[in-house]
Amino acid sequence: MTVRGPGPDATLFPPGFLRLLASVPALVRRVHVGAAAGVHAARGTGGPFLFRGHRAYRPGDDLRRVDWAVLARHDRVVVREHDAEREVRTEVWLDGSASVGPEGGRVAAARAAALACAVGLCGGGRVRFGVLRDGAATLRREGDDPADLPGLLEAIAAEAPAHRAGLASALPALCARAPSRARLFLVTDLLTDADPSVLARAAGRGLGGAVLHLRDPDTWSPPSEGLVEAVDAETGVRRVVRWTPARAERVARRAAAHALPWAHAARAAGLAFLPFAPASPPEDLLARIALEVP
Amino acid sequence: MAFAWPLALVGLAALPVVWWLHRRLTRAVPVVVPSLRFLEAEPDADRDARARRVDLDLLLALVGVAAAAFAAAGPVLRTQDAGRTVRVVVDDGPAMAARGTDGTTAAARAEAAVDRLRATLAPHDVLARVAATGDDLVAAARRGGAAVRVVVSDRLPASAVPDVETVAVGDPAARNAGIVAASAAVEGGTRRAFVAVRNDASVARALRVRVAGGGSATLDVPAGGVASATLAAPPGDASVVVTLDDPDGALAGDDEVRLSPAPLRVAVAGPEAGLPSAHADLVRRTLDVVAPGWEAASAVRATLRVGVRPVALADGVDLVLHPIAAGGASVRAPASAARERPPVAYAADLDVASTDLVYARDVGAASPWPVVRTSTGPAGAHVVEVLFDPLAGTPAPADTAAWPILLENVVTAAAGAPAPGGHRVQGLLPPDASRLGRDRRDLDLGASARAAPDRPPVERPLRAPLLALAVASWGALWGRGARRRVA
Repeated sequence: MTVRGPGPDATLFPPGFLRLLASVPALVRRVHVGAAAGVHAARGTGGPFLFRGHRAYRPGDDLRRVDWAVLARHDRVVVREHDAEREVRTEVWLDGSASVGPEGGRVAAARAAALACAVGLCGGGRVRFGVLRDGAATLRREGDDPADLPGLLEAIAAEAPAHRAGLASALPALCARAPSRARLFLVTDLLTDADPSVLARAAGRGLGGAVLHLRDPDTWSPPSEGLVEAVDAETGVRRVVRWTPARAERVARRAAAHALPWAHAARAAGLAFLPFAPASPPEDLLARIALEVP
Repeated sequence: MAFAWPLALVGLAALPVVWWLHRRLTRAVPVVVPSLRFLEAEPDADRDARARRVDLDLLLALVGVAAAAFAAAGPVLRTQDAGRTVRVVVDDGPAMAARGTDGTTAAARAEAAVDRLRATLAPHDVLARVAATGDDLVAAARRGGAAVRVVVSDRLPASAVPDVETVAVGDPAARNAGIVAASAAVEGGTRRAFVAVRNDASVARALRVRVAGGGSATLDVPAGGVASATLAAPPGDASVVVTLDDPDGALAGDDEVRLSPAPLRVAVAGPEAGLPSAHADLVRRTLDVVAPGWEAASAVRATLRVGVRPVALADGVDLVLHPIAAGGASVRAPASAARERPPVAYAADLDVASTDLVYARDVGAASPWPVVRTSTGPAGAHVVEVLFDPLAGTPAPADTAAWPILLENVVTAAAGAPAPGGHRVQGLLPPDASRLGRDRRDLDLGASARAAPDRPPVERPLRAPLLALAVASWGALWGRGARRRVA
């Protein structure tokens, strides 16, 4: 995979990050080889039915793919994967709400979406990138070749956080639209009143992928102790508070409690739940995607 | 409080600037946050934000700036303002006891004058009252530092003294007559008494003098003149009492004298009574000088007792000289401190009989150790206790003139002064005492107010502590800066 030029936005995607994107195929391949020892690599002849390896059973997997022999011998429930399954469609949906923007959130979310797109393209699959905003899931760009990555990056960079995401209505529509066995990456801060159970509607459809949760476990933290006039990025509501270490700890606990049911719902839908902080290096997120997302 | 450089107080104008800067730095900083949802469960957040709390940072900054500004102004704290010392010398001579036509004594009028002067003083002025007599009045007024010097007496000084305010409280209408000289002698087996009377009045008077148990005579004494007579005195060793009939005289103290033929009888205690031998020897040698012919006597018969406890005497005067070693235990505590007059410093010319407390010159005026104490002894005797250790310099070194003078004064107070003819005379006032002072001059109440202060104000510079306070405040402010960040 080759990414030419500085990209559409050097602030969002600096050269170092572009080099990271270029290394995504090799990283994913290396990780999968290690994860499925004794199995042939994906490349080569053998067609779509070439056995690639095993992975842990997830709710919703087709029971016909369970490897009963492994269950009998090792008492582990695994399913068999074949190369053809890697060439699934990858759906990358970015939370376009204004709450994603503050404190480096936009940059981190854009890079997470770019990493997801790169992972989706490296298996030769098709990638669709869209935005969740105002209760709607809007498709922005598609690509099925590594050469399409710059275009996807441009589409990602063009999305400035604004308005509300409306996940309560956007997520059901997204889950209904996603094709079976598709790989779904949802980049969001989950700052919504939506019921996490909307993700459960995707269960049983063989979806893979992950919810890339921006900001968790971090919460926004004012620069210093003292009076802070907090302005809600989505509503513009202002509130003056006296920020103290004790108050920061309580807010962090509430944020973690808010994210917990979303994590359960994501796993129930067959999705990994990968929280990441705006300040965390993108290499870490890429490694976790490669390890935890089939 | 005063300032050396008041213009530096302009630095206080930085206080509102500091306050304004603090308000700007600590006001609510607008921060765009992803959501306020996690703050909704903080019901007290707004109340906390509105709550007025003591801002230690601002307090430290303001204290530091204010302290630095004040320190730059060089503040000086005046703990005591400038004041005037008014030195008042009150004549306490015998003539001050003269009673005027209005029934008041000159001493009482002098005290009233002192009270009026004291009432005019400012709070920081000090009135130093000194007692003196005779020619020492002006000299006593000129001693020491003072802004105003006042002499209160019954007469004006013989010559003008421009540097001393003089107040005269005499009675121009008073008249007096008194015995100014007396002696007794035995001539041819007959004892006779010589007496001289002075008429201190503006008219000639016929004055009668008599000797108890002896002769009498009427003397025609011209105005301001002196007349004398020689009268028959009773034989024997008894005292000769000479009396002047002057019932309406202003001064009663000069109307009777007592002539005693007996030598001074002194009881000197031995080492067994606690009196060191060296002390006893010194007393005997001194008596040989100041009271020639003195006799050693038993304690009961003695007029002067050295190291012997006081006993009742008909004279009413009981002089006891205690050595330090024995006297320390036998000295009685004063029955009431209020009865004692203020102590006076021991001087060469000490009148023991009129002095309650005398401090030795070397001991210091602030010492609580009295060397002379008067009290009332057995049967109302007037007891004068002198704690002395002349070998150690108390009340005066033995090899100085002060010590024999002191002992001579003690002897005179106890047994009278030596008179011609071998008698000792008691009750004879100084020759000038019976001549009353009749001058009147009111007190110049504005004298003290016009005088320049003689005591400068006591000032304490505050720059160093204020600088220390400023540095401490800023240091504390600096130290707090590192702990203000949220972890």
